[in-house]
Amino acid sequence: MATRKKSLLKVIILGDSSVGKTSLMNQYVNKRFSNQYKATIGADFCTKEVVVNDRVVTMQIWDTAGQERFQSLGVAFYRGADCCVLVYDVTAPNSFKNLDSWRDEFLIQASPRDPEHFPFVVLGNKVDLDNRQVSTRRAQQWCQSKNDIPYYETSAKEGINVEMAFQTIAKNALEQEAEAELINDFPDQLRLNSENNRPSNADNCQC
Amino acid sequence: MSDDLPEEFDLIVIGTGFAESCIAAAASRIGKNVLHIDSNDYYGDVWSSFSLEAFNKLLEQPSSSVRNGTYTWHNATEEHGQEQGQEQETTSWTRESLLEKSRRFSLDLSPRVAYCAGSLVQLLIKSNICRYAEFRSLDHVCMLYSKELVSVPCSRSDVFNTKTLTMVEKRLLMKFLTACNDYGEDKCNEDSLAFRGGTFLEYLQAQRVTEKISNCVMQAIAMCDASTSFETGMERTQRFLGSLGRYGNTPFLFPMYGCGELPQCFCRLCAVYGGIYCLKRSVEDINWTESELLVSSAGKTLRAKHLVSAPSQLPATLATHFGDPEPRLSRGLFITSKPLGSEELNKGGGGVNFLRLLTTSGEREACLIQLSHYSGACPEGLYILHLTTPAVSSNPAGDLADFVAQLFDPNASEILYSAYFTIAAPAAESIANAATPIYCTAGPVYEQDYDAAIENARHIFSQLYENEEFLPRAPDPEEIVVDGEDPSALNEHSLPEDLRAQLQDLEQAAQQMDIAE
Repeated sequence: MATRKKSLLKVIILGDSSVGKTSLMNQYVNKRFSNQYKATIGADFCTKEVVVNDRVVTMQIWDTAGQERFQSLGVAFYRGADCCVLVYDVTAPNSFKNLDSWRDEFLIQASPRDPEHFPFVVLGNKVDLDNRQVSTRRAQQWCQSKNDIPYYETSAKEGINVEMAFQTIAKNALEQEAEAELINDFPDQLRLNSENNRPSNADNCQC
Repeated sequence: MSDDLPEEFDLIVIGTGFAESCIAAAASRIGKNVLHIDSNDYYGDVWSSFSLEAFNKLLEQPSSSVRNGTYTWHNATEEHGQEQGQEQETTSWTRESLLEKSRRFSLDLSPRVAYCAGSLVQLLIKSNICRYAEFRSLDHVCMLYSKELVSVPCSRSDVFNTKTLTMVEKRLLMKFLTACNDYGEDKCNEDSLAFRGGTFLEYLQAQRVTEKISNCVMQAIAMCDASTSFETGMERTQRFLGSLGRYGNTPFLFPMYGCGELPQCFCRLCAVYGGIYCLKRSVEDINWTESELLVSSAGKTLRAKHLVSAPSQLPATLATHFGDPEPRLSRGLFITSKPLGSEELNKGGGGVNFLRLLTTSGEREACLIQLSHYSGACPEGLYILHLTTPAVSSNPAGDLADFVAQLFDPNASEILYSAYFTIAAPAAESIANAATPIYCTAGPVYEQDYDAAIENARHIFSQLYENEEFLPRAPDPEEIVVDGEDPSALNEHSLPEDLRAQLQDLEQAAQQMDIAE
């Protein structure tokens, strides 16, 4: 098997509806926040180049496109994820409770090779709001109990901790590689729109 | 959990199979408010892929669309030891060890390959849905010659390097293919004029090719039988040739992780444009008035201007309007520890290979897709063999027996698991003649690519939304203007140099890709 290193990291964001998944992504990539809540329309995925340990990698962050709203995320969404970001809303205890099922769902659907050490990151979002209901301690305890998942409290609105959280996400996704896990399982897979898939010497039957 | 599902839609689509998903995406893309539901807890309906465990369960519970299902574990407990070579690690597979890796399997109900320049690839690129999909180029197109599986040379270098053909045969093949490639450019070409109205085989024989080349062309390139017309054979040959040299070494692609991924790509686009998704939601009844359809589902009445449904997901009260499901495809699925054919056909752990087969009498055909772990559809060291033939009976094993016998011994020790089932759907005429305002999709038919399925979706879409474009290009996320931003930022002239060049390239590419409509 070829052991070409990956330079593209696929990161998926999971969590209940309206915890701020799209806003976090927008804040991080576009440095923008919109107060208007739309159950995710037009949010697809964003790409951002990041430097981790002196290496430039492209991080592709995938939003749920609203398909989580009625628990209808298909298995295709989870394919090939290098890191999974679990988001809850610190003012909505239910969204915190559901982290368990989101984590389980991810492990079942993505079935990573080493589920024990798969990089997750947990974000408690909306810390700018006053009516906080989930304490930092409680969240940290949960993260510790799940093999020490890194935990950040963020505000997509104020841009608090967002940059730092995503740096960690990129770093942890890449660290997997150090453990020879990020080796490309499928070295020859094709994306249809990208030009570099074309063989340079058109060796075909246009005789 | 409270059900805050809205109740009014422009379009409700029932079933997340390939054609339904295309229609849902296309409607959502032009701004229609779409609800897409499926009674199953998975995407894809009869176009889906399953883990080994889920696949077995599916076969145990016959439905209107998947029936006559059986599966057998073969002597899967036999220990093989390490008698062949030291460095070669021989794993012995048992039923338990296969089930342990259940989720590493992606077993397709309706597998097929796509031509690199075929309708699926064109549609994916044109609509930009290709960003959600990944493919594997097929490693070999094969043919059966004197009971041997041989690779059909697909590129110029293949033709020259192949040991299958003699020097003379190589020249003949190149000459023949060149003639086919040029056919149609010179309408008055007398050489081919004489064969119009005849069969492709007659034309081929007149070119004085050897039997081997004739086999190669008929079986694999033109995919003909003795009665195929000259025009059809020519068209298919050109389709094969036109798909070469684009991606990889053969004219075919297979979706990574199986064909069940494809409907999900279309569904994602639908969702990105605001479509609402609800799996595990069945429909109890459908009624209608002059102006709208009323869908009773989970204690709610959902209203829509239009309704599209898969035949398999219609409520019983309505299914009768569309006729009884008839056997469409007879399917066989085998898990084996040894790929078919020589080492050469399976370099580096096994090829993703394609083979079209005819019965010994030449009357019926089947296709075989062999998947190795490179397809993402099975664990390393194992291979999936998918056999598909148009159903002639309700006995899929019987329909496929002739083909299986040509390919392998079903009792061989490397065959670990075998399954047979029938895919059924109402006849096309009874769907077309149903007197309801519901648009019913056609279900899978026997074809290599997705031409018929896409045409079915396109046709229904054009009936729903006359004069609207079917899946125009969806912009990349970078091109979407975030609210508050100056929309003129997307003006072509304000784009940086490299992006502008890219845009022009894309436009040019899009023009070249245009499908004649």
